[in-house]
Amino acid sequence: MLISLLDSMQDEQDYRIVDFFRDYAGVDMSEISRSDPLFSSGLVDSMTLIELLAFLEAEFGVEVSMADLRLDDIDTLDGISSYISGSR
Amino acid sequence: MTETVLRMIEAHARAGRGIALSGPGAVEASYADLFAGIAARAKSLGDEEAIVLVASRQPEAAVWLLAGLAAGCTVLPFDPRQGAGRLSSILSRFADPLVACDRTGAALIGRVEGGQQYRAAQLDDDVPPPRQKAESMALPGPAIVLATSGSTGQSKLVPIPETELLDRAGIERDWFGLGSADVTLGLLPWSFDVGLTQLFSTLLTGARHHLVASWLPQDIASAASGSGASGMAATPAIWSTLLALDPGHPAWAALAGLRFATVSGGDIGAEAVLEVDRRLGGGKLFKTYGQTEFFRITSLRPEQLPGAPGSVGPGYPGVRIEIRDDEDQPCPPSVPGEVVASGAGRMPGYLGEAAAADGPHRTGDIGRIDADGRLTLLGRRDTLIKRMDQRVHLEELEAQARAAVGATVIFTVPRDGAFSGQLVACLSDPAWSGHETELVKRLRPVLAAPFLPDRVHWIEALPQTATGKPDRVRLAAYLENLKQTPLNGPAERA
Repeated sequence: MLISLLDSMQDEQDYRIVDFFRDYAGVDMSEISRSDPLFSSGLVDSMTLIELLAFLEAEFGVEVSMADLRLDDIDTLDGISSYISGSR
Repeated sequence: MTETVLRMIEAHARAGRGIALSGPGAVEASYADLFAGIAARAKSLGDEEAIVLVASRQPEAAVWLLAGLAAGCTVLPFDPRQGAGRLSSILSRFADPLVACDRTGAALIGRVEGGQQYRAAQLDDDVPPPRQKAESMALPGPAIVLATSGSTGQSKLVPIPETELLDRAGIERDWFGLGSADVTLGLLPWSFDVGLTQLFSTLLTGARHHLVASWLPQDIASAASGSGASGMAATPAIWSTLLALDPGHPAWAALAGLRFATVSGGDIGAEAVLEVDRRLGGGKLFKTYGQTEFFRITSLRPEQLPGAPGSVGPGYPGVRIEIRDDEDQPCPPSVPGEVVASGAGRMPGYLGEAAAADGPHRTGDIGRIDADGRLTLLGRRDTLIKRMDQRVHLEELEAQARAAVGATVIFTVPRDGAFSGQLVACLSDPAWSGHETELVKRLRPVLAAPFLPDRVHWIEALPQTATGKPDRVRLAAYLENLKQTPLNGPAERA
């Protein structure tokens, strides 16, 4: 059974990321799971990831290393959460 | 027989050419696949006049673009990153456009006010919803239309007829020496004339165009090495990201395999250009300068680069460039003025405007020409600003902001002072005093992300010129004299 993203959101961080995708990309996240691909599925234009990285830096103090990052690393909400945890 | 895009693709399919388009996830389409896809899609578009393509770059979106031309339609590719405000303005110019979209595009149309009134088709829909109304605006027939920011507050629509597209593709093929064994790396949107011409020149040649979904250096490295790329067009934003990496980064190793690359859509300065050329292995880098209204104005070829790395080169073949002063008189060599171009590559006129483009094209760019005829760009004479790889006139931002918040908002970028280089939105409507955070929240779904204001400032009265227009010079001077505290910053955003 698919557990929707909104059911599985764990903390304030998740809500702020969901808000980002809603406000910047106009994406309805209510039918999406934590492991659903966001960029590679075409749900979010992949060029929006530049804005996502600026958002992660400003909101969560993440030190983005452009040298190592790949789209696959931040293609899902789970991936974004892991990236934040590993980059602070 | 007039050459058309469909005949061009068909000829390559019959000649047994291999992959035409490829992209992330090992997606590939041969010339035979592409021809069959275009022919089938074009049949379903026989009754259409205007198509607005709101989708990420992918082979299926390319099929729509090319099939629209084959069906005699006018097709406008829209980059979803340009925001709902500009899309709303563009859609409202057409009577009954067909909006072809993927999931990204559908989400964006959901943010356009009254967006549900437009006929929408998903890229994989077999048959689009039927057209209800004829277009009142005179359309040029088979053409691609590019939207460019206008100083009137509305974006301007620049049509490029199919024949002109093919001419441009042929010129670019010859300029870069493209052959059927080449693989061009597609990083740039088709709503940008450089990205569009790259797509057409590659297909005209029977070569392969590999679409890249991400500008992250590791993704560019994988795409370049995985596809065997031999050519790439990139903007200053992309080159700046790559230059920030260690020269030993895998992206530079992958890009060293290129036969040629370009700096397009802006300049990155002499030292940076030389460093890029050095890291690519030397002798591969072209600079190109043009505008949406004028295909290529100048280009600096690799062999010319060491002698004038700060310039964008001499006039393109068939193009005459000159520098004019405020009285429209020619400037002597090395004296700055406005760049004016005439000759091949000039657009026929804006869509929806009766007057055809006539006489030399005034670019709005300030530059100077050296004794050897090479142009160096120095800045702008109007309100066009550039952030990331996107450009906009401040008047267009103001029109989108007024529609979103119901108040006059003036944007400016102070040159000096504590807020130098920041995009500041100012307003004086009493209803918004103390609600600057809410204002940013209302602007966010409408403006393209790079153009969200860095600061919002409420002011008792906006300075005006004698004719009642916003006086940006006085406003910028006022902001340049302000201290940090009165302005609202990003930390206070919602």
